Amino acid sequence: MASKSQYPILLVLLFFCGYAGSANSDDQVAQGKALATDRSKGNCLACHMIEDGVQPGNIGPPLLAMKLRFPERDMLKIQVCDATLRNPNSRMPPFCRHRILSEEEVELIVDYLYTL
Amino acid sequence: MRKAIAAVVLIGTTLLMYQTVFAGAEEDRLAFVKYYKTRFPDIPFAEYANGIYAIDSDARGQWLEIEEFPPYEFAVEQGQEWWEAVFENGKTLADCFPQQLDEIRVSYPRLDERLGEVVTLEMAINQCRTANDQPQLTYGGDEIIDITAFLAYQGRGKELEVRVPENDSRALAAYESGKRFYYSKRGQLNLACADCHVTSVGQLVRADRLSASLGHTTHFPVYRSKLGGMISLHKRFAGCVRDVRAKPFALQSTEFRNLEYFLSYMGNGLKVNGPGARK
Amino acid sequence: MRVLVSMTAMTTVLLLLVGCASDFEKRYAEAERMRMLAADAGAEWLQTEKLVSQAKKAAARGDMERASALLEIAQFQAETAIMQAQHEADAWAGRVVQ
Repeated sequence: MASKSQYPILLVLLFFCGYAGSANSDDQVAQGKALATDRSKGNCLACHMIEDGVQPGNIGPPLLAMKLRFPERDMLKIQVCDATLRNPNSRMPPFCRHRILSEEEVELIVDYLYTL
Repeated sequence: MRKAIAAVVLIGTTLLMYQTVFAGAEEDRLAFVKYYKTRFPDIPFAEYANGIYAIDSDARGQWLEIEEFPPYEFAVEQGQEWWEAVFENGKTLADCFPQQLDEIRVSYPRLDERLGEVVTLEMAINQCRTANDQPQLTYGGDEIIDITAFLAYQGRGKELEVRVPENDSRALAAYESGKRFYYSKRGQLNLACADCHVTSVGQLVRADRLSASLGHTTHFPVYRSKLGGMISLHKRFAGCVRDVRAKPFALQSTEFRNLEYFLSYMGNGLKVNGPGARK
Repeated sequence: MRVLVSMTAMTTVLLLLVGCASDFEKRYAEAERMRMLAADAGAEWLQTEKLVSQAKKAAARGDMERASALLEIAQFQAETAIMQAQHEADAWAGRVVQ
């Protein structure tokens, strides 16, 4: 059992945990970026230019000003999750429908994309 | 009388169907050529025999340098030895091929009338071995690749002239099957050959530029620096299929032979220039 | 009395294990059947076969949780590949260069 003197520390920890759980924490963005870059995960760089990403492809549009292009977060999520919903012939893999990424992973990637 | 009318109608419909599909093959080819002409107005048709180097000016210089000391030369020399090797019965591979040496490469792929399916150069070599009581060569193995390298080298400069005989439903079916394969999305990544090599042609996947499918078959087998050895066309097909995370078909499977038939037909009129050298 | 209790407990555990195993066998056979159907359609994905065989290995060493998870992915992949092939049966024609 925690003694009374430990309560303030626990409170501080809880505060940070809560903060980490909120959207767009640095950690989530970093995880999203890692997923976006990983060749066996999002591999976004295969087709899209992204800020400092090395040797990007150019099949899809550059990933910038994402908040402007997708003011609704859900629309961006749908685009990453399954681009064939909007265009059945899309060359973008249906990441969720084919389970290339989990929904949680897509959330993290969208967090990251929204910082671009 | 009724029967006769029915028969005439049936024959008529069948002929019309063949006609449509056959016209389809040549129409397909013309549309294919026109598509790339529109995408790259400055690239002459003949250039497409050079594969990616037709449209990738950055990589072209390096390629031309490699071609000065061709890395496939050894395969060609080895291939010639295999070609001239005498079987126990005193015959050689050459005895199976009625064509001139420089005509063999462009005689394939073709629809074999007896088998009713597409026969590729590799398959014809193995058919010849069987006819001479020799064990089949493993597709993808050195010996058969070297022989095709030699025959490609001998056949350089001849134009692809693949035929889809209009009176042969089996040829039409094989062509259609290859065409369907080419345009169908497959694998976990949900991509068709055409998604990359038609729609996205010339664009970059990371640092690699996507080649045109026009001329995809002219330069095989190729020496791939990345792998440090020769690979066949079907091995390359398998690589692409794997890249979209689909299970590759076997080398010389019906699927890949039909795909080769379709792609070769698309390249009709281009000069073969194998073996090639690629990254 | 004690012996009876422990024997009952052991039997229950044994039955559960056998139950899990036969459930696994059934699901394994079903995943393999779907994979074959996908292959027949020329639509099998790259990793499905590997997933099925990894599931079998996991089950053989008693790791039923992992075996079950792997089978679930394999089954999903095979089913999705078949749906993909069914969709492509018409969709491919729309991509032909005109």
